[in-house]
Amino acid sequence: MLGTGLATFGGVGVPYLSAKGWLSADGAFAAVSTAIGDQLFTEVFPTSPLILDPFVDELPVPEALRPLSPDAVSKLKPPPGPGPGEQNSYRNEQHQIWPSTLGLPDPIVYEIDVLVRTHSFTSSQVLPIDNAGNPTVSFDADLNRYPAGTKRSLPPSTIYGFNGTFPGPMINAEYGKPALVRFSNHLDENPMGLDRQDFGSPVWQFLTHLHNGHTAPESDGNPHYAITAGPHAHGFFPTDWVDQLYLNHPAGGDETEKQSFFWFHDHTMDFTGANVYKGMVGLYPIYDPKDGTDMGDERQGLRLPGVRTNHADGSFDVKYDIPLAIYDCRLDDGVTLHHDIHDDQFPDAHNPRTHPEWWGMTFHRHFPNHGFVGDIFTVNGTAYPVLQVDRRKYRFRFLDCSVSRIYEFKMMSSTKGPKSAVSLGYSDDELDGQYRIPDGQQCMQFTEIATDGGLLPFAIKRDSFELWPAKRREVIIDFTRYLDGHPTTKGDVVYLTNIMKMEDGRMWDSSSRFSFDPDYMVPMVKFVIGDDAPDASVLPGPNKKLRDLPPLPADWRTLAQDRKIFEVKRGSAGGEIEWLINGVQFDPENVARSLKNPQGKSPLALQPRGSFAVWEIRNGGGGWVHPFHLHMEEHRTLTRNGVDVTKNPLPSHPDDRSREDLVALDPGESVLVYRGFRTFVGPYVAHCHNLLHEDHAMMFAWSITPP
Amino acid sequence: MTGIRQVPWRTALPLALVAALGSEFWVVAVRGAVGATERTSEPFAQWVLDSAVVLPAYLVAVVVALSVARRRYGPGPLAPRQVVGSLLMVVLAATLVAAVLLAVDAVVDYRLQMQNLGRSSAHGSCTDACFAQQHRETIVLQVKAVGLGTVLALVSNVVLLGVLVALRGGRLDLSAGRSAAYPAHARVAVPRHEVLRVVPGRVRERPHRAHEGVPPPSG
Ligand SMILES: [Cu+2]
Repeated sequence: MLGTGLATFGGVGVPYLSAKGWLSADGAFAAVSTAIGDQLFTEVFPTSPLILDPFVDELPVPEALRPLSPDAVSKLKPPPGPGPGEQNSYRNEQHQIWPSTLGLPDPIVYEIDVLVRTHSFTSSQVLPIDNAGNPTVSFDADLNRYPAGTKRSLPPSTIYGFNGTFPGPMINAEYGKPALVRFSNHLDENPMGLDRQDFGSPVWQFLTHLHNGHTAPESDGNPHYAITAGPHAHGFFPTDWVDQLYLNHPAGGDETEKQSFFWFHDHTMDFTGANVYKGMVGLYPIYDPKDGTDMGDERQGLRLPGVRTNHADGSFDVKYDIPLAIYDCRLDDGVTLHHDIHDDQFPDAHNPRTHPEWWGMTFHRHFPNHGFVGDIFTVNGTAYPVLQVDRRKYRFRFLDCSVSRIYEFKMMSSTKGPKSAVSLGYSDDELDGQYRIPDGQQCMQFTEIATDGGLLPFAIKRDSFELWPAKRREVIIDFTRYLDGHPTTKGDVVYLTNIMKMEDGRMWDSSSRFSFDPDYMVPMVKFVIGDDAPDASVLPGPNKKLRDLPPLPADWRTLAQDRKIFEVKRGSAGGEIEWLINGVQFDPENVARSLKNPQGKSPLALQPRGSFAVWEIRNGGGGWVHPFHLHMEEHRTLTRNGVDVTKNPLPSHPDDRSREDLVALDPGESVLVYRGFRTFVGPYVAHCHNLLHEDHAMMFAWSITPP
Repeated sequence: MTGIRQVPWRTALPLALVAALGSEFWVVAVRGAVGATERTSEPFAQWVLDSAVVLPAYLVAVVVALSVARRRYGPGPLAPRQVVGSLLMVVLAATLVAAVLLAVDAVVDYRLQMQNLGRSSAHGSCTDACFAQQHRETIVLQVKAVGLGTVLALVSNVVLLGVLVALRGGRLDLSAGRSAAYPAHARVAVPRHEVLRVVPGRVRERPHRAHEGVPPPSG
């Protein structure tokens, strides 16, 4: 209670300024510049209509994508292969390492088409509201106008989707069994005659990145590669295809580098945010069959929850092991002006203007100041879903595939149930999330078992955890008992709840760590506890070793003297905010240069193959947070603001002791990471995963050179 | 014009210094908001440096304003209304300098930003029309920024220079020589508690002012 009171008080005091990174001389300037910027850049967003019947639609539980049969593979035009010119439709590339080179079997082949289709976030009726929460007018595709107070059904939104769905397919992968995915661009085809609206790549390109596979550049889907090789463009055009080979082999063949949950998403230069928001998201859990460690069978190895069913075609599904792709969106109200820097690239939209014909469809604005946050929170493509769970343990693989929003999750119970934020008297940004549980109480803990880079060394009990864009966190939830030890009973209801308020893409306005708002409890998934079910899984205790971390060299402090330093910060160009690294915009053709390091050197971002290095990622301040992503290998966090976290992580980032591919940079924070550059040579990138920051130049090119 | 020996340096220098620091704060802050990417690092150091570099411009503006005031009101002592009038001239002159510097900044930023756009365009899907739009948006933004920055500089000059004059007992000395001869009645009647409210930290540092007819603060 006292803590809460102090945290609330902190909202107006020194801790607040400190949290925003505004407590230094430069920070004070950043704060003033930010306030001035807020006056000069237009950021107006619609208020989505209120979903009237939440927690009725079932949570979609993805099933594994089935691979092509050998016959179907041979009929691909042309079939995949290791030879020169066999990697893409430009016939100008070859797979750098075919599986046999590493003693691995030939890849399992999947086919994924990028398609124009539709998606519905809810089947519920909606009530159109304005930003004060009052009922307002609405429209339809024929420009009919409906008076305020009219309940409506939502039109489906147009998506660009992997195999035409959102989220796209899930590939269940296994270490030791390479997978090859043929991605084909069909975005020029529009068989349903859909309105493509005014966002997504204007020339219908795509570029798929498996985040964060240890992958050769030609299969990595990054703009440094795409501009300098392969398509020599932002991405692949309609009718192009590309074979992306995922070796499912840990970096350096090192067991401690094994990961557990990838996802694949679009990475087209300048349009990643819009394409991902338009649906280009797929899931890629990866299991480890070695000694049954983590193979999706709870009777073996670490005995993590999962009941595996093998299919004849080599694919498999795992029950009680569910990915949760978290995504926020905003639906058009028909009266908000569409206007951003890309207006001229969508001539059919005739922006700037309003689009009542798009009422109820996804709204996107590129015109960036802070980022993009939605007011409807969805899980696996469904807003406010319900999941009937067996009374046992589950493994949930959380992924934040939102453009900018950060979440903090807590398991809560509520006697009175969800109430719409409107009915509680809220307005404007306080409507984000649409529903609240005003009497919410934490009722369960999470057992965190994995981060971005796979299994933790030891499980961590968490009351809540943060999920930043592109990050993954895996947890076990035991639905048999509550926090206080009492058993659950059939019919009990618990909610996965977001307690982080984030009114724009800059950073949170309140969370457990800063300025906690005890009234902000947004239920996102309703779990209804059902019958008992057999459960052979074992909850890992605090001393149960899950997976060792890759070792750090004893002399990492010495290595750090010669580190490469990359500072991320805000600038401006072309009439909009730009996001820079070391003072410059993303140059897709040339590798970046480090700031001057303690040895007085400013090296280029080049690493010999097989090398390891310390890199520093620095937040240049200004009251922003950045989820900073480094492609190709996981890193270990060494220090945060100079504090060694290799043995004892800070309370602010308790799972820093893990493998990760995203550096969560608090305002003004500087983080040292250690990682390897193994197996492949060629062009890669590192970038902010606030996708509007990434699309506005907060990215840099780096490369691995032959040893 | 005023000869160099007739310049009231003791008045002009502090006014110019305060105007430069105050106005340049906004110039640097506006640059942080809309400036070209290369020019937004280490704003605090930039502010100190910029203020030093442009101080002569502010000094010239202040001297000119004071000489106009002197021609109009004579060397003084000035009546309260004349002090306010002179102060306003100084504020306007300093703000004019700030506006010019903001405009120069905008032009420099615009050129750098266009170069950046050109560089990233080599790969872009941004068409000619898209570039034309980015040029337009940049110009509109820079013009708006100059306007907003000028208003902020004006307000800060009114406040800061006003406070400075108030702290000096409400006097504005337009004579080139020493100012000790000024009789008390030449001051603008700034109530003592108003001055103290602006800078409460100074309360105990200035008891010597008591002889000028204002009772010392009680407690
Ligand atoms: Cu960022």
